[in-house]
Amino acid sequence: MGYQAMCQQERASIVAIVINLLLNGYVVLRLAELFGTDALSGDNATMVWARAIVWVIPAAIVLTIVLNPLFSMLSKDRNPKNLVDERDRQFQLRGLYVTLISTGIGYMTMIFVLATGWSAVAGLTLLYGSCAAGDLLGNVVRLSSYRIGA
Amino acid sequence: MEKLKISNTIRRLRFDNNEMTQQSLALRVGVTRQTIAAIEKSKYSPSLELAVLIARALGKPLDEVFIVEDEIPENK
Repeated sequence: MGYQAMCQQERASIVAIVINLLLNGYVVLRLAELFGTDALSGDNATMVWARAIVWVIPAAIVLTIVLNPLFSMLSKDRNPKNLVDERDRQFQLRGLYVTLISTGIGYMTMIFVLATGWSAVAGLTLLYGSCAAGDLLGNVVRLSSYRIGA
Repeated sequence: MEKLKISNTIRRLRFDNNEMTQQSLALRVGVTRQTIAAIEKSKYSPSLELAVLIARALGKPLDEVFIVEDEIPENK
């Protein structure tokens, strides 16, 4: 089954997975580098942390806008339809459940680890990681719903 | 709730309707061609609304388009 046989929303879930892996892969490396230095242990640690990842959301938006039509062109779909039907909505909802569960677990864990004395930066990193993992898992579930069926 | 195994005759009925394409049927009922393909292969169960729209587009009653495969006999 080629990419041409995919609907626009299925291709969008692949694009979202690729973007997540690219951006968060870089974020992991960047944060590992910062944790290796003293940059995240001073008074302005949360500001340094936030500056290291603040670009992720606009970058994700720009990449989504650029990569979705590019993927349609590569898959030779000259007239990509942005129609979202009931099957797309059902699979989106399924992915969203997974994202919400992961983010919820991350939020609860963050509160717990902050209560046990972890630093604010460690707590924020945990929350960010659970959001990123939730987004990735949600899109994987969405894509596998298209592949396997419902 | 017991899960019913439901098959369909969409593919045959499309060909009976002047060889209607999946794309043409999809346009008539307002879904993507891939959704029609998934329904034909029983990889996706449509909503009642969509099932009725498909049956209407094919000019057949709902129970001629969607068939319960393992119906329990009434006398059992």
